[in-house]
Amino acid sequence: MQNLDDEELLARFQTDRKSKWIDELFQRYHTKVAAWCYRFTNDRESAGDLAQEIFLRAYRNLDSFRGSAKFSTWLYTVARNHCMNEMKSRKTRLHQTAEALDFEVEDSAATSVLEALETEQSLKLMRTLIEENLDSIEKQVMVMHFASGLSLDAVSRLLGLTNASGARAHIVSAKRKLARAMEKWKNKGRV
Amino acid sequence: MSENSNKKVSQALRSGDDCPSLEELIELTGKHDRNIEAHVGGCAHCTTELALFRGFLDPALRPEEKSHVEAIAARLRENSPVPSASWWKSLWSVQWLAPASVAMAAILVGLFVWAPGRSGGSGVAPVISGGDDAMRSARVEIVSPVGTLLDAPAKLEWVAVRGAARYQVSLTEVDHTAVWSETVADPLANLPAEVRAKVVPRKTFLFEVKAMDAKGAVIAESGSHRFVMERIPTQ
Repeated sequence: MQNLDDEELLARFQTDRKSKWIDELFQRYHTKVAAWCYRFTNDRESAGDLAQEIFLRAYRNLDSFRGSAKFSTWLYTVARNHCMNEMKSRKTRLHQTAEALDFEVEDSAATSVLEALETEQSLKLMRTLIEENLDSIEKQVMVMHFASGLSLDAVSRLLGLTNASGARAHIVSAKRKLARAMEKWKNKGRV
Repeated sequence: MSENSNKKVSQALRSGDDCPSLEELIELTGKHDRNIEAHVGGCAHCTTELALFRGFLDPALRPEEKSHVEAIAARLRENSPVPSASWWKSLWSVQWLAPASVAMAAILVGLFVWAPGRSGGSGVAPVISGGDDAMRSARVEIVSPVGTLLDAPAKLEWVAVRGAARYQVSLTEVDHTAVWSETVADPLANLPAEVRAKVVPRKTFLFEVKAMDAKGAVIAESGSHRFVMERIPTQ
C-alpha cells in the first residue's frame, strides 16, 4: 500500500469505499496538517481541534475531488482556508486589528501615492513599489499580515523566522523601504 | 492617514484579477508553466502563497514545535474521521456478492408480486418503505456547465427528476466556500450578473443540485460538478 501514490489510494477508496486506503492517505498528512495548525495557533489543544476538523471536512468532501489537481494541493487548500477562516472569526471575536502601517514618511509624499491609488493603474504602481523595493521575506510578511490578516506571531512561525523580533522586524524594514520609495516617486515622478 | 494607508497598501498586497486560483497556482508552477512563472516573479501575493504551500509540504519542525506536533499527529491517528465499516457493509462490498444480492432481491420481489392466492392480492407491487436513503441514491444528471468553458455561464441546467417539486442549486469555490444558491421549480437556474462576474478565468467552481419532493425531502442529488472558464488570450 505504501507504494501507491496519493491519487491511487484515493481512486481505490472511491471504488471500494474501504477505509484502509483513506486511513493510509490521511496518515501521510497528519504531521503536515498538525504542524500547519500548530503554527497558526501556537496552542496544542486548539491546533488539534483544527486539524481534526480539517480531516473531517476533507473526508466529507472526498467525492468532490476530481483529480484535476494533486491530492496534496487539494488538502492544502482545505487546510489553508479552514485555518484562515478560523483565525478571522477569532480575531473578530477578540476585536483584534492588524498593526497600523503608519509609514515614517511625510504625509504629503504618502498622500500623493495613496491618492493615486484610487485607480486600477495606480494599484499597479503600488505593486511595482513593493516588488522593486522589498526583499522576498519582507513581501511575504507584508502579504500575510496586511492582506491575509495573520498575526505577526503566526507569520513568524509559518515562515520559520528565527530572529529575535520575528516578523515585526521585517515589517519595520519594509515600511521604511516603502516610505523611501514613495518619497522618491514624489520627488522624481518615477521610481 | 494610517487607517487609509493600511487599507490601500493591503489592497495592493492582495490577489489581483490576473492571479490564478490557489489550486492552479500550485499545479501550474509544479509543471513549470511559463506564464505562471512570469506572473509569480512579479506578484508578492502569489509568491507568498507558494511559500506557504511549500512550508505545508515540508514543515521542517523546529525543536520547540516537535513534541506538540507529534502529540497532535498522535491524536489524529486515534481519531480517524473514517468510520469503520460494519460487517454487513464489508460483505456488500465483496465484488461478487453485490450483484448476487441484487438478483436475490429481484427474485424475492417478483415472487411476492406474483404469488397467487394472497389476501387482497391485486397484483400491484408493494411500496417499499424506508425510502429516504434509497431515494437519495438517485442522481440528478447535469447538462451544463461542465468542464472548461469559453465564457462565464448564463445558466445552469440539469435533467428534470420525476417527482421533484423543486431544486436547490448551489455554487461554491473548490474549497466549498459558498458563492451563490437558489431554489427553483424548473430544471434550470439563471446566474445573476453579480455571480457571473465572479466567474473569472482559471478559477474553478463547483455546482451541485438537489431535487426535493413536495415535502422538502431530497430525492436525488447531482454530487459536485466542476467547471472553469478558460483564460482569455491576451492577443
